[in-house]
Amino acid sequence: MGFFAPLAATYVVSAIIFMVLAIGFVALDVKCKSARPKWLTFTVITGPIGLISYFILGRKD
Amino acid sequence: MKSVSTLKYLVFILFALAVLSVPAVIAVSIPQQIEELKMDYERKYREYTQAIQDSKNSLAAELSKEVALAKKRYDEARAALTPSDQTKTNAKNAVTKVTDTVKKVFAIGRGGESTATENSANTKKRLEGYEEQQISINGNNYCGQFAMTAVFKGLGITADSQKIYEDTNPAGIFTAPTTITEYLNMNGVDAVSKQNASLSDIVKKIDAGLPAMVLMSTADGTPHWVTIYGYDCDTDGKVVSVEMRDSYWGTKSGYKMDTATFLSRWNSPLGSGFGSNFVGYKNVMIDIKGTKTKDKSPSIFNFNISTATEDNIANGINDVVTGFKNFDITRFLGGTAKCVLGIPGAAAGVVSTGVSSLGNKVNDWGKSTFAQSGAANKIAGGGAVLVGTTLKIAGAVGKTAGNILSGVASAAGNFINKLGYVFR
Repeated sequence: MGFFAPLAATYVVSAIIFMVLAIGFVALDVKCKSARPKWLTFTVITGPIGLISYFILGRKD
Repeated sequence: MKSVSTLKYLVFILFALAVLSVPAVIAVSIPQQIEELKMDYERKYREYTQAIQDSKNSLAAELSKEVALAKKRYDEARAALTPSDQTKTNAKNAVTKVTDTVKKVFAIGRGGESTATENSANTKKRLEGYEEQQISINGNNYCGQFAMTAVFKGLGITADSQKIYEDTNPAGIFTAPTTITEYLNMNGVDAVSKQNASLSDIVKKIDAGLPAMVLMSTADGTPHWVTIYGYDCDTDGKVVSVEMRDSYWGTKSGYKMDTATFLSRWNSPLGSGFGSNFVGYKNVMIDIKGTKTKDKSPSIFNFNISTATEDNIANGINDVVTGFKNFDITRFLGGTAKCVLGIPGAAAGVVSTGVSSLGNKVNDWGKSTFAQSGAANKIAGGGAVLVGTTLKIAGAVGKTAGNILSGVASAAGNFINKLGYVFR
């Protein structure tokens, strides 16, 4: 296995933490322009892409 | 006159001694000849049984004739020579032994099958060309590459095991099932990854003249690839053991593992540790369908949807590491895409697998508690079964969602990887 096992475990734990933070952020962000459920669903499905898209398009200046 | 008579006397004595020594020489030579013939016969018998085991039919047939000839010579010599009492006793013992072994030889050799041999006790099946393979790889954790080499060589495809290692696992980490299927397909072997395969699937493969690669665990719970190329059955036709080549047990020749141990380790490739609760791989088999024209580039849909989460994680890490080590830009970028786009799928899939495992444990506890007497046990057990079943359903739904998301990430990563072959 070499360093595969720690690498995979780190990746999975990081993925879970990232998703929790991303979903939490989109769900609670006070600067959300509109259609929060849409952004929330998009972030759940696409992860980092959804979050970046939300940062660019979904927030008030 | 006196000297002449003395000379005659001496000649007479020498002649008498020579005549008297003949029986002694014969007495010594008879058992020796018997012993030599017996040794010759037994040596050929060992070679014959070894040849049968190696499934070398032609050699076995040739040796069978030699065994019969050796036996005939032995019988003739035994009949022609008149041994001493001691030799008679030895010969009698030898004949008894030889008679038994002859019966055994001709019982084992019945039929002269090339890949299957049988005797009164059991039936065994071996594919030719796997037992004697010499495979050497310099590196770490090369079980997948060892097993792939065995498949290539067994199917008559020239394979350099070290090159396979450098192409697919140069950092010496775990080799994902999809990494293996991709490499096999691109090198002339038609292969797909299969989850929840059964022992009968392996038997069918071997009966069809094809090997099966499976992912099992070593004693310490490390995932390990092996190539199965044979099996043994008892008198009832039940498979009692499998024969494999691998980089752990069967490095120099075939290794026989009893079915119970094999099934247990195949069922949980990560052993019974905590981490195994979060990995869905179970009875994974690389289904070898035969040889084919080499694929020019990797398939975009090279993943199994029922294990897409695990495949995407393992293959993504494989591609990132291999791409980095081999300066393969598109493989590196494809692997990165799998890892990044696969984040939602990995989170959903792994958590859901954990929830399913928890549901199974709660369910099992509920069933055992329910089976005990007492109203409290019935209520607690029934409730636990209900909760366990709910968790299992939730886990299955989540895992399906995770697999779909991971499948999309895999396809995107494979597409980027495929682009690299367009410009080659």
